[in-house]
Amino acid sequence: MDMNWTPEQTALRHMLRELLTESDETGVWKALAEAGVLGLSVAPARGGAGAGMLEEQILFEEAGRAILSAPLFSNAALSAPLLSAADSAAEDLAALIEGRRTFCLAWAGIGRPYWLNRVAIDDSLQVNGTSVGRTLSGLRRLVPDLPSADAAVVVGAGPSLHLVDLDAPEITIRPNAALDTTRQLADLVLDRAPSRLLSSGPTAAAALDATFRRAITLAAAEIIGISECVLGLAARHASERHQFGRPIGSFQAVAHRLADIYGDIEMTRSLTMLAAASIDNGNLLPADLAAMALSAQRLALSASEAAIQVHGGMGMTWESPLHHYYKRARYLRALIGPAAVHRKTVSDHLLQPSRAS
Amino acid sequence: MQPDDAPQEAAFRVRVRSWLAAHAKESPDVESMPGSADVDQWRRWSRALYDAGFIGLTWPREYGGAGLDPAYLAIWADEVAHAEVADHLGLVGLGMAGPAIIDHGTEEQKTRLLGPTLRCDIVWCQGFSEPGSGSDLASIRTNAERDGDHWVVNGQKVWSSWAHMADWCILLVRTDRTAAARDALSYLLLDMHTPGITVRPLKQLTGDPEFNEIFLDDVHVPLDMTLGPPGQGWQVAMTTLKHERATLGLGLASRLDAAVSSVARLLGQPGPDGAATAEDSDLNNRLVDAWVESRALRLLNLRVVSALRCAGDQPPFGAVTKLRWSEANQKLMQLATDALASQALTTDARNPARDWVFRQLRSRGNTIEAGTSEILRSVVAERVLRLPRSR
Repeated sequence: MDMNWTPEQTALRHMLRELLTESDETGVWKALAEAGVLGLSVAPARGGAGAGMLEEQILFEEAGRAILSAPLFSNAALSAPLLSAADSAAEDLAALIEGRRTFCLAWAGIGRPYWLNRVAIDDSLQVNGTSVGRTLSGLRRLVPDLPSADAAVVVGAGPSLHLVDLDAPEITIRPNAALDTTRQLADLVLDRAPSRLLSSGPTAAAALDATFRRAITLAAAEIIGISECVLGLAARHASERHQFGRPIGSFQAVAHRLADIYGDIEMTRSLTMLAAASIDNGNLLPADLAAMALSAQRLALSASEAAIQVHGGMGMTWESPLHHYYKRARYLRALIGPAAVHRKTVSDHLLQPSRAS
Repeated sequence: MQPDDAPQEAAFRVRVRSWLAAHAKESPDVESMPGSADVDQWRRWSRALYDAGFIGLTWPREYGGAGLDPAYLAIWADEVAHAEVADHLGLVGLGMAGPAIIDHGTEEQKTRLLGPTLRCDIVWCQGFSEPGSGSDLASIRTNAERDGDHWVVNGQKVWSSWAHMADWCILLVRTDRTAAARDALSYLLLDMHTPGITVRPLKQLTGDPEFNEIFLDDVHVPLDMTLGPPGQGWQVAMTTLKHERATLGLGLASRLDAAVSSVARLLGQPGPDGAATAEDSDLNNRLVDAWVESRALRLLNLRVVSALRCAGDQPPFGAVTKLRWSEANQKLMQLATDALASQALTTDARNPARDWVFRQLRSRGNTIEAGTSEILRSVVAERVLRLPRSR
């Protein structure tokens, strides 16, 4: 047992923090690609850096802390593992890792629960074979980072995974005004759009399930980064803001609420480290992923809301950056899925007769 | 980073598990108060654990320990909790007095006291808190006047667990009336058989007299039983509390984990009032919350242990383990007694649920003892978040 970050992992964190603070919006993607972190946990044989989920956790904690608006989640968390699982997508994966092309994942159908799970997939997508190849028709909703992406991995019933170039004329992108202003959410309308099949049936199901488990873990990591950042902002504000002749952070009602957020962050980080390490070890307990999800969901709201409360009226305004963090946290919370589902996973694990022994 | 056991750790876990399975019958009831009736059983059990090589795991070899890193202590805590057997009786000695003597003691103090502490020939109690000094420990008034080659101690201590059966006491006293509060304290090692000591048990919520008051009237303590230099008692006490929080955390998290499993079993059974408790969504949700908290706490403790092993110092997140444990344990015990419904309303020996009743009542103290939750939150706020002090 050793739950310390290794020196290499700590160095990665420092490198990323510096890179993300110093790069401007246009330069950051190139910088991330040059640092080799777009395919951080992709196998070296497939052009990746061959690191693991703990390194990915660090990457996403830092991305959350920096409230990165570049499409890291769509590429590194969602698309890379799916492209990596398909032999026919080697060139696309290389383009993703090198930062030449960006990808997004279009999985959620209409009238289905919107979260990182196969329950989001509906069967309305039409796949037609033609003499020149396959085409897709239908709609995928609330696709993160779609407007800026070059290509989309589209998920159909079965499940099936298809790759679609987004510059085709058979594609319509309908942007939404997203709650999270730092992450675009658009609907994808396909009208006999040319596509390539990546995989289908059990192979696609396994790739999707593994990707969703990883992505939920990395959404939790991003929530941790966001929460750590807003806690720092709140602590600074509470030290500087004076009322009644004292810094407000000297009032225990303020201080203790922030102390509890610190505890929530470290508890969630611990569960996320376990999930990340277990994914790499191949022994992830579904209940552990669910415990992490429940903990991260609570943290997503509690940290940002405490920070807004401590900032008082200014916390409610766009003068303060807190609203970006709050809205991003709310979006990630939705991606992690309904608490009731995760509660049931834990409950089943605990109340199984075999577990009682 | 690797949350799983390394091969040597796994081998140790197997050895502990099989030994405990073979000897579990000899353990005293974990929930029992080692009173006069079964104190011999507690001492025999503690000695057996020592003879089997499980006590003093992290103590240096030269003082009778095994010289292992704290990961082994975590494994030990896990296995003892899940086997539902008692740990060594002398937790104050192993977790506080012993490590403080190892850090600050003279060779004579070490030779005389460390070995017997491991073997449970010496049981320790703690004389820190006073009626007027709880959270504000530096304000203690128990006084020690120097007289030749000994101190003469007068005053009163309180909340001393096991003092009624303890052989020795780690005693914090004021030895200088002129110096500022924290430079005026000394740390004494007090033989509880010295004349002038009166121990009065305090009945607690459970009805058991676990805590005691200690009255000290002209008690003579040899000068060479001062631990660390006179006037440095505060610093010595702080290392003592650091050890307490680091090692206690492991045992507590493991017991919590085992208790969650027990409560899960409780919820799996038909309720005493005919209600199917597992289908009660409120109880079920609270069980899930308890497991999530317990799981996270276990990992957080492993992170503390890993950091201690590597850096030797408590990492900042070590400040939240006791706080989170105490609140989680209280909620879990409330859940257990809610699930037991009317069975939790009687405490007769024939009520099979009576242990839960006592455990719930005992848990009420968790957020008060060893640092109140209010103090611990202020510690996090001031030392970790660097917020301005509240006083």
